[in-house]
Amino acid sequence: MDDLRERLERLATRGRPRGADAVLAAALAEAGRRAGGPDAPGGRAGAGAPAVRPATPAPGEGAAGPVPSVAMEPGPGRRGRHPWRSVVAAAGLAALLGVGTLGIASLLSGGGAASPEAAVRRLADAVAAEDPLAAVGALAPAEVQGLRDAVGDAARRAEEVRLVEDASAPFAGVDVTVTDLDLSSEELAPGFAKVTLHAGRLDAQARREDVSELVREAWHGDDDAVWHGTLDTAEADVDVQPFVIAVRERGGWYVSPAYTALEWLRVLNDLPAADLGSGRAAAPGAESPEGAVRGALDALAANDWDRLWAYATPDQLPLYDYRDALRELLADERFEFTVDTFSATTDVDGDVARVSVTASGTYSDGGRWYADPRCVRWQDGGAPASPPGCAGPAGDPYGPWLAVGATHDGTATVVRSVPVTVVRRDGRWFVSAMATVTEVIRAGVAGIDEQDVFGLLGLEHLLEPDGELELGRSVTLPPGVASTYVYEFEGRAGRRVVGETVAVGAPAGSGRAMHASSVILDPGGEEVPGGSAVFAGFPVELPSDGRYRIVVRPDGDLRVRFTLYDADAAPAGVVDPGWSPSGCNPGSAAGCVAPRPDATPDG
Amino acid sequence: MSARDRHARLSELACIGGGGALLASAFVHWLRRGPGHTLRGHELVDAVVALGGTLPGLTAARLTVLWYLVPLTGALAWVACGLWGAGSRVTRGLAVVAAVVTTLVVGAFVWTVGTGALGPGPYVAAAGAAAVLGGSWASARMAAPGP
Repeated sequence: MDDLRERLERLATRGRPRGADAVLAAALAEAGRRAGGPDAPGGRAGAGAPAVRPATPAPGEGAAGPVPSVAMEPGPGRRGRHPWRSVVAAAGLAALLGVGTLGIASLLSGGGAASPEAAVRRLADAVAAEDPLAAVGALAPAEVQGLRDAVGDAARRAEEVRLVEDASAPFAGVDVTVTDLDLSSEELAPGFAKVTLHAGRLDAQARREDVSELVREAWHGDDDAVWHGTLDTAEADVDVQPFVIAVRERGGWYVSPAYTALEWLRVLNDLPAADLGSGRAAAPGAESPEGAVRGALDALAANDWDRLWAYATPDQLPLYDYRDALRELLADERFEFTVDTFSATTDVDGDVARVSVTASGTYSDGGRWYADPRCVRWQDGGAPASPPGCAGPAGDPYGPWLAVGATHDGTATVVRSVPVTVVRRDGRWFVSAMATVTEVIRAGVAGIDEQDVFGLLGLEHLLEPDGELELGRSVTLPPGVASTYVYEFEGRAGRRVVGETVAVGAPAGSGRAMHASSVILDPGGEEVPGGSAVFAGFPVELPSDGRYRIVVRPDGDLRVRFTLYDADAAPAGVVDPGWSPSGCNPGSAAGCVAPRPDATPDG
Repeated sequence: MSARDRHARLSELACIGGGGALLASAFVHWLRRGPGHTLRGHELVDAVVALGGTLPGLTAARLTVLWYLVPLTGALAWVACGLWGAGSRVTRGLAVVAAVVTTLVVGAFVWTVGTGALGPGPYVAAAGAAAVLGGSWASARMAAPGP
C-alpha cells in the first residue's frame, strides 16, 4: 500500500497538471518525433527518453506504422497472501469436505458397519464398553425399533428404584471385555451374511464396591464376582460353529437378532433353507391396520402358517423368509379356537398404528375367550357364564406387569392386553410383534417400584412397612396388585401363625384359595421356614420373640384381603385339613408342629 | 514484531485453534459414561434423546443436523481465517454462527443428560466456539481505525 502511495505521489509531482487530452496529444507527438529519428523537429534524444516508444512492427502490420506502447516501470508487484494462510484455507476446505461428507453420509445411511465382521466387532465393542445404546445401534434398526427408548426408560427407572446409582452409568461396577475375536463371513444372499465366530474371549467382572448400595446389601460376601470365558471352536467339540447373521440396510451392515435366532432354529432342527429377503419383496400384509390384525388372527385360527407369516413385518421378524422351515417345524402344532366377533379401534401415527381389539370366540373344550383393550380372558368350558372382558374390580385391575392369574372364581385365566402395534411398509400394513413386545416391556419397566426390586433382591426387611398387623384382623391391600406389601406384627417364640386370603368381590362360595404369596421374616430379617405356606393353611412356628414381617404379593389381577391368625385361635377351615401335625408339612424343617387340641375357631 | 502485530497474530491463532477445536469435537466423546457414551453423530443424538426425553422444538433430526454443524463451522472458520483473515466480516459472522450452534447443541446435551455425564466433546466445542469468537472480534477491533 505504501509503495502505491509513493508512486502516485511521484506521478502527481511530475510535470505540470494537465488534462487527459493533453497527455495523449503529447504522447502521440512524442511518438511521431521518435519515428522521425532523433533529428526530427521537436525530437529529443538521450538518456532522458520518456517511457513511450515505438513498438516493433509486426509482420503485416501495414503502412499505418508501429503502434506506440507504454512500457511500465518494473514495480514490486502486488503483495500476496501469506503462505500459511493459504494452507489454513486449504485445510479448512478439506475439512469442510470431509465433515460434510461424513455428516451427509451418516444422515443418509443411518450408520451401520462397513462389513458383516465389522458389524459383529462393533457389537462386541459396545458390549465391552457396557454401552447398551451402542449395542442397540449395532443391531438391525428395523428389528429393534423402539428398543432404544426402552433402554433409556429402563436406565432411568433403575435409578429411580435405586437399583443403580446413576442412570447414565447403569453398568457401574461391571467390567466386560471381549477380545481376540476371530471371525469369518460368507454371503448367504445379497444383503445377508453369516458371520462365524471361530475364537474369542469374554471376561466379566463385577466389583462390589462400585455397584449401588442396594445391590451391595443383597451381595453375599465381600469378594468381587469374576467370570472368564474363552471360546476356541478349533479346540471345542461343537456341532455348530457359533454364528450370527448380519444384514445390510441403507448401505451399512448390522447384526440381525431375528435372522440369527431363526437361522439357529433352522440349523439346529435341520430344516429347509430360508428364502432370504423374499418377505421384503413378497409378503403381502394388509390394506389397513385392522385388516392386518384380523388377518393374522384368522390365519392363526385356521392354522394357516404361511398366511400368518405374511402379516409379520418382513424387516422386523422375517418369518416369511423361513416359511418352509417353520411349516415343517409346526406341522404337528394346532391351535383350536374360533373368532366369532371382532372390532378394533386404531390410532394411526404416520407409518405406525396401534390397534386395540375387542373380540371373542370359542376355544377347545367348549371354553370361550374374550379380548378387550384391558385384558384377554379365557373362560373354562362348563364354567358359569360371565360377562365378556375383565372380571376384575373397578379401576385398573392390573399391576404394571403382564399379569397372569386366575379370576375370582378360579375358572378363567386373564392376561393384561396391550394394543397391537402395526407398521406400514410400502403402503401395506404388517403386525409388528417386536414393537408390541417392546411396548409391553416398557409398560412393565414403568411399573416397577422399589418394593418389586427389594423383593427381587430379597431385601424386604429393608422396606418401609405398609402398616402394623394385628393377628386376627383383616387387611385389605390397596389397589395396584402384582406388587409387594410389607406388614409388621409382634411375635413370640413358639407361637404358630396361619393365614387366609380372600379376593375382594369374589362370588360367594368360591371356596378356599390362595390368592397371594407370602414370606415371613424374623426379627433378624431372615426368612422363617414355611412362611410361604401360611396362606395355604399350614401354620408356621415363630422361632423367637420380636418384630416380625410378613411380605404379601397378591396374585394376578386380584384385589386381596388377608388375615393372619394365631393358629390356636384361627377360625375353622383356615388350617388346611391336610395339615399333619406329625408329618412333613411346609415349614417342617423348623420342626413339625401339631395344632393344639383346644384350638377353638372364633369365627 | 510490534505489540500490535503480536496481538494480531494471537487473534489469528485463536481463530484457527478454535476452528480446530470445533472440528476435533466431532471426534471425541460427548458422553463420558453410560448409555451412548461410545456413539457419535446421529446415533449419539438418538441415544441422548432416548435418555433425556424431549427438548421443546428440538427433534432428534434437528439436533443431529446441529451436531454436525459444530465441526462444519470449525472447518468454515479455517477457510474464513485463511482467505479473509480473522478480523474480516465473514469470519466474525461465522464466529457468531458457531457460537450459536455450539450453545444450542451443548445446551441440549446438558438439558437431556445433565452435566455429570458430559464427556470432553461439549467442552472442546464450547472452547473452540469461544476462541473463534474472541479471536475474530479482537482482530477486528485492532484493525478498526483509532479515535
